[in-house]
Amino acid sequence: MGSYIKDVACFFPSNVLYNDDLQRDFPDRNVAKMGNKIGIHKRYIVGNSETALDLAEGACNKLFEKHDKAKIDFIILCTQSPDYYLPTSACILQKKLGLSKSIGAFDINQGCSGFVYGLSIAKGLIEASIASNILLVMADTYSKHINKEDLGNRLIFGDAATAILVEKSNKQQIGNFVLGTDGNGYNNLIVPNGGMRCRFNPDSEVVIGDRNDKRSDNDLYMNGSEIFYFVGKEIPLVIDETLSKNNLIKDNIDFYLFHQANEYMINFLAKKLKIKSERYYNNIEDIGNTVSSTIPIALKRSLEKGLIKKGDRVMLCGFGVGYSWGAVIIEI
Amino acid sequence: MEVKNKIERIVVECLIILAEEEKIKSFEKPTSDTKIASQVDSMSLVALSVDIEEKYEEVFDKEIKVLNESEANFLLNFENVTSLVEYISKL
Repeated sequence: MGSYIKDVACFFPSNVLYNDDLQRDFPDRNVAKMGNKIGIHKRYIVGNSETALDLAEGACNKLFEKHDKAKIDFIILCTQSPDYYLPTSACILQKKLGLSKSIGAFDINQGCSGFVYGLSIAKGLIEASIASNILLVMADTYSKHINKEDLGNRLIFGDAATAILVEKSNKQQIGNFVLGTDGNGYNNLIVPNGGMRCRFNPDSEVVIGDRNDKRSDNDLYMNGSEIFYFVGKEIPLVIDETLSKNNLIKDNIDFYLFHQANEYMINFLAKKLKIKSERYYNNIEDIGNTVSSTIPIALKRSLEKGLIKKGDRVMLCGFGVGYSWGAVIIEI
Repeated sequence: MEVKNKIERIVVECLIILAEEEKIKSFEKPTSDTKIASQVDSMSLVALSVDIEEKYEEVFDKEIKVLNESEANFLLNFENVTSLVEYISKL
């Protein structure tokens, strides 16, 4: 028994934030230069009353334009911007989509490694004969975590959702996974307040960072240098380990889809791994870093552009908040 | 002295690579006085550090961490080629 990714649908909110808009908000900063460095020139941002769950519903409805929703027997929803502490967004999504009551549904709290983690769970549920047609949903609205005066993070992150149909098949097209964790990096990408350890504090002090970005402990904090350092050191090893675990070598891989953190980081990673530019993909110029959705969006766009085709072996690798990482090789 | 010369060669090689990749003119022919931290942003600094660490390991068969933001005034280590070589030689 095997499993495969049958289809992917992407959904973006309607509000667009261009770098020119940010330049107006930050007249003393060189936004164009920063945008060119990270390769991001626009991104989609949710409205005040719009949430990740709304985006998730939009992505799923797009998927169901081509696929029968009655077949779905499990929902896995990955988000770090849920509507509520409880219940899980996946349960509400089941209601909104009008799916059968006889299905399993839960959320996972992962960021940029979330798609690979979700795919590993989906594969496991199929192998264990618990489910056959899994709706794997990625939905994040990091914009709601970011202080309006934090230019660095407003430039990088965009909001989006993706819905992925993972189905049972005769042939196994999802390979062996490598998953990893290093909690030592937990405070390099964090929203400190709002959980049970430090409750949301409306009086939290606003601090000014090295680059004049402002935030309080109610907002997202990212130590970009430490994250980049972790990626540069750890991820080449993860790629090697994934190849080894699947009895493959680099030349056996037709295409690489990394978490689309930013263009500079992806290019650096490709350089370290000696991957030629035609064998990996940067696609965040018009959407930004959409956290858990970056890999499925890149997968969808690569297929549409003909960069990958049926039968290709594609390495998927996600990494980030936690620190957490995961990689797998799929066959298209 | 031999060790410091080797480290300087590593730093210079990595700066030249960065010069090519990011079109940084002052890194094209680096000397001991070439300024580093003031010429690059944080992402380039990380990239340079990882490159140096890799080459250092190839040459000396030892792992080091060049960029340590937890150190106070860590950017002073990257002021110029001389300060960076001095810092690395003490790791």
